Amino acid sequence: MANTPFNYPATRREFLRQSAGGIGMIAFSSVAPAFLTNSVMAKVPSAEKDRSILVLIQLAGGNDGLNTVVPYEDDNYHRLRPRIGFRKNDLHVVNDRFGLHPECGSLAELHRDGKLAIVQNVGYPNPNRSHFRSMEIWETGSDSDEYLTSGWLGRFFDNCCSGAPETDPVAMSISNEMPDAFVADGEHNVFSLALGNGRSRSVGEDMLDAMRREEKAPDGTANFLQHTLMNALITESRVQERMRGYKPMTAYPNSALANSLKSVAALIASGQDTRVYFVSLGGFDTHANQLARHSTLMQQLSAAMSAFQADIEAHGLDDQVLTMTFSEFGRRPSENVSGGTDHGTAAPLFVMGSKIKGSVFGEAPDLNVEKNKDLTYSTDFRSVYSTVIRKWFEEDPLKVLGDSFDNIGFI
Amino acid sequence: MISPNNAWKPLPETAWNNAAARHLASRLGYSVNPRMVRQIEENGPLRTLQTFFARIHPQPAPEELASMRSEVMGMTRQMQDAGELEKRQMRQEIQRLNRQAYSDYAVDWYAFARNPRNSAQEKLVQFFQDVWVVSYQSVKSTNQLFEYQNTIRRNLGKSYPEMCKALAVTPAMIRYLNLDQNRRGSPNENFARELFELFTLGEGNYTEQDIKEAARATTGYTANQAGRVSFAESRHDSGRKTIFGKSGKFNLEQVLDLAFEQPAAARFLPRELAKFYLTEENLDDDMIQPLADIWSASGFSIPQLVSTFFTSRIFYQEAFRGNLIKSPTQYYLGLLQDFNLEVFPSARRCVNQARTMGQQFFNPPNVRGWVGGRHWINSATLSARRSTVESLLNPIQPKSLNADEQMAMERVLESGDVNFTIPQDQLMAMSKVPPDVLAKRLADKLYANPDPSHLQDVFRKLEQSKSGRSLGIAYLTAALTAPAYHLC
Repeated sequence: MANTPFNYPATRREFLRQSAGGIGMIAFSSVAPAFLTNSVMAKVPSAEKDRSILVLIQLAGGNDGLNTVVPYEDDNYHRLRPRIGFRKNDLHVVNDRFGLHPECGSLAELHRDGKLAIVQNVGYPNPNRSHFRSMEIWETGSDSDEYLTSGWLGRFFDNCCSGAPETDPVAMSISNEMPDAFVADGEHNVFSLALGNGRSRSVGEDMLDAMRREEKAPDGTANFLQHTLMNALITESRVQERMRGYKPMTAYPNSALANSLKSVAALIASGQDTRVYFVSLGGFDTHANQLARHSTLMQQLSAAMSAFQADIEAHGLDDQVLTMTFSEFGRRPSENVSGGTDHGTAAPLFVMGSKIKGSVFGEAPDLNVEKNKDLTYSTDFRSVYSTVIRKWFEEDPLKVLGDSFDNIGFI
Repeated sequence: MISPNNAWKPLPETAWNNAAARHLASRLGYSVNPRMVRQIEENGPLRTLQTFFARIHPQPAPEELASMRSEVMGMTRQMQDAGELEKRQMRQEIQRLNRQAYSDYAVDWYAFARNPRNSAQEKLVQFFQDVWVVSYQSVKSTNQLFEYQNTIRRNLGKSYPEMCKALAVTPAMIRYLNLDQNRRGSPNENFARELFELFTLGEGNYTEQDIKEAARATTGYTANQAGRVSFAESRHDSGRKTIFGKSGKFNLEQVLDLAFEQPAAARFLPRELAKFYLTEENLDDDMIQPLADIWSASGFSIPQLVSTFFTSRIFYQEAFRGNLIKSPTQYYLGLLQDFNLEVFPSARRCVNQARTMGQQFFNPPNVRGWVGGRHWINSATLSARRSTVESLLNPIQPKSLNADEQMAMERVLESGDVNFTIPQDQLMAMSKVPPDVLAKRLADKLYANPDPSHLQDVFRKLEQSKSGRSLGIAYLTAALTAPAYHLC
């Protein structure tokens, strides 16, 4: 932060230490950020946060599960996919039944090291094959015929993270959109940021500078807006500083997903009090000629995840981080005439971390289906959420999911 | 502050100018396009209102809705002889179809309201939707919501009591406030209570006894699976009721007539109107009363209320200019209008963006509707507003789109020369304009209050650290996320 003319304190404690100095006065100006004024008035330092962090990787478009975790021994697989199916020697063999996609070498290695769990055939009853609706079901954690307005993580924040306004965002999305999963009933410091080139100052930092220089504060509604905006910009500028100054301890490949995960690593390494990070990789809607396209995506996913895990380990922070993938649905078991696959139902997902049990969980899908028929899920996606909430965050999943779901043994 | 006696008199011609026209534009519609502002300035407030509301434009029924309707009707017929399991499956299928049609309806509505020709009308429709609240979550029938909104539209040119009578017996409202469970001998008071409290009178202007009796009077209505409303004498309580001190064998329409005889009824809607269009802070009863008098003398005519309100002196008071926080809908549609962009025809973009900004289409959290104002703004919703801006600044990556989105996008592109995101050459061009000049130009084009000084400060900084396209992006990001752009 050396070259910013004005340093905002990173935490309330730091602020209280600094407040004897020059910064004290802004806390009482009419446009001071809320966390500053609140903490001064309440004189309470923030409690130490638990450091169990969840990183969610959204695979948008519907990832082809059967070509991600391939049941190479199943004749039905080859019957359904004569053109796009993989043979055993193409794959990274996981066990005597499954192998990972040819481009998933790094993930296979993580699996061998016990740091990657594979949860098979995850879905929900009465599956919906619309991208929009099925993603909504996954993000809100609802039944197929239930419509919830809050996200599963939003409800987690409502139930488990309420209290004083947080200095750091409780959840952050590093993508172009604010995920539905974050939508909460209560107010939380939730933040979304699209990555810039990472070199120059962000627009937000310049806006903040200009606002800070303004001699007369606006009044009324404009004042309120400026106040809230400054809060957001201060968060952003702190986040940008942390990302800019970051030296990863391993090399990351050059892809959008890898850049996002590198930023997540930077923020975790900086000690930021964020519980959930959300990143997204799109392009999984492979209706035609999917082999090349899906390979590129698998390559990006595998390389980025493993670089991230290695980096976090090198920082000695891997005990605190759990990474999980999800997609709105898997794809049809039978390939279509265009060498692609249409919208399907259940699919496997990955859970990665040093504290997990890195084996294969859940029942494999039954591929004894007719052409153009779909898989029947065997693990409810809310069991995965429930496990994360209970075992990783050590909170009660019932309050978040509204119903009880089985634990899966990956933690 | 202006005196109540003068507040609702027409603004004198000498006070009419470009700034007043800008204020009217930003409140009546979604943006302050300088060309439109000049047009409004030329026409004056009264003629402007006449042009905007002269003819009501119906929203064409979304394609999906029509096909869904026939499918649902078929299934509803089959359901009668189906077994339990089949019935359940069909109900689920009906719900799935409804949900899909809801997304399509939402996308279509945004596109319809985005058309500047319809904006003032649709904002007024939203206002009434925010008084007479129903929500998708409870009604679960897209067709019924569409019909409900049409009922509002059809009644914009009539009196408020007429609109109330029409809305009360729509299938959506009957389901939303359980009017179908309100029967002789076992009244359900939900509708009667909200009718007085939230639709016509306001709290404190009725007694519990009035509600009990009004509930009896509004018994007898049912809506079947297909959404047809009928009135069954056998379910109706035809006995005597005493409401607001009057006795008689009242029915639903008469309950509404009785409500509009109450002095509070004349103040209720004007107060709601002021809260939606003028200021978050409640106006005093004293201030509202003269408008209430004008309005009730007109037989509660909606056009009379609207034209008195928007041509009044108080509406143009300095204190009320540029002080309202845009709803997510206005923010989003205003962005599209300001840069002449089309609604991206996918729920993932427009429906989700609106939801993360805090306002899901036709789905307010409860019967009070959206609280609005400052409640629209917190760190999460501000961040979501910014994400929305960013999504319009960067070209759409076809690779990241799902196949159905690509198809929908191509369909819209076929219809002519349209943009979903701000063309990159515009961003380049902006980067070449001196920052002070650009800030002035943008403030004039975008802000309710066109004072550019704040933006100029920011732009000067941005110019030092960026260039080319990324400078253009930085300029617009700053301009569109600044406090001034959240205000109208």
